[in-house]
Amino acid sequence: MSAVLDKLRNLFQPDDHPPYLPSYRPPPVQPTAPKQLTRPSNSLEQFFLALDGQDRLKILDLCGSPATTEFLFQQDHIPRPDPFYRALELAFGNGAGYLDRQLEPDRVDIFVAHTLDHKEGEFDAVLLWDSLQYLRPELLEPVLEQIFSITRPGAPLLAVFHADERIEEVPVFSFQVQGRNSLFLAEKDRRRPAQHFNNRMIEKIFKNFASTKFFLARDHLREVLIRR
Amino acid sequence: MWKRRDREEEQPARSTPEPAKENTPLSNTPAVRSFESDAPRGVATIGKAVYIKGQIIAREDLVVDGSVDGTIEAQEHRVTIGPNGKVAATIKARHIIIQGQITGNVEGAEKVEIRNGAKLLGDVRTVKFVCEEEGTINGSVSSLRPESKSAPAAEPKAASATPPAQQTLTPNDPKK
Repeated sequence: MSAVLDKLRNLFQPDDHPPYLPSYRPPPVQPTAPKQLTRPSNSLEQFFLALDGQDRLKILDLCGSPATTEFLFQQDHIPRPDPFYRALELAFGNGAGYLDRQLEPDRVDIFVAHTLDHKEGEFDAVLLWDSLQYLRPELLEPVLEQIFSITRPGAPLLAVFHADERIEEVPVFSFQVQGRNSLFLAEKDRRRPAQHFNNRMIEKIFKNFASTKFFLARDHLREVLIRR
Repeated sequence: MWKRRDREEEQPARSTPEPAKENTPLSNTPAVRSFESDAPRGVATIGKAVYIKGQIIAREDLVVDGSVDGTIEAQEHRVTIGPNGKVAATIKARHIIIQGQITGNVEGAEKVEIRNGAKLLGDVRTVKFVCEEEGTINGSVSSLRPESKSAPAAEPKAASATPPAQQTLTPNDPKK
């Protein structure tokens, strides 16, 4: 009877499970709670210092969180939340093959034509967050060209890159500005980055911009303040 | 005999609960207005099965839970776009609450609130702006304050400047 039961158990085991361990059950995986934390951010402080003395500045926010929109509005600026991440998912999906689909030129052309479709020099500042690390070079280049064209010269841009090169999947955060130097991060998902960005590579991708300044942040994050 | 008496006794007993039965359908009506329970009297409602194309000018609070294609103006009042509301219109009101979907620009003289599940594709201009975590905006959010302050201040100056100019012009008019 026990032999029959073991055979039945084997039927429901995955194919790669060793057949000599019929009664083996892997330990249940404890689902880890999505990470949420509030922390100070020097790069954010520098970003706002660059905006001081000017109000009603148009600020593009690629994360588009309502908290950031409210904060920027209270600071007397004109926030422009952009559904960039949602557009990325719609164009290339969010499964394992999203990076492969970024190799299709037609998809890339459609995405670039319909996303970040704003006037030349329209924005006085841009919050890029970690959006760029999910773009392959084939997509990254036209997107950065588009960002360059829609920002005015001298405008500050804030970008975040995951610094741990060993990790295969990086957490996708929702970035919410809570104060001039206070950032709330809520983990939404985990995703394989398109490439790992070290300082040299970041300088290379922003070669057309005026300057880049690096901030070593907590949680394996590398924050970069860029000047257009 | 016993049966007859029983029937006679039952009849008045049955007749008493009948008015209570008449009241039951009336008690169901507030459940339909669950999301507008705080709405005071004098609220016009566009139901979810209603489609309006054109201009709406409201002189009382307005709740739109249906579809509107055009413009909505309620300068002194509150406009609420309900969870079923699908609006392709420019909205101008004192206070705007969005729970449904809007394609168009929104101008709230006092406040604009974007509630969870709401989707706004358009620009917002207001004095006070509130957006809940699950609300979505695709458009810019700008303050109405500086312009609203400067506009009335500029008007009296312009008005005071024009009459003397007219007065001086009339005597020097070459036609006269």
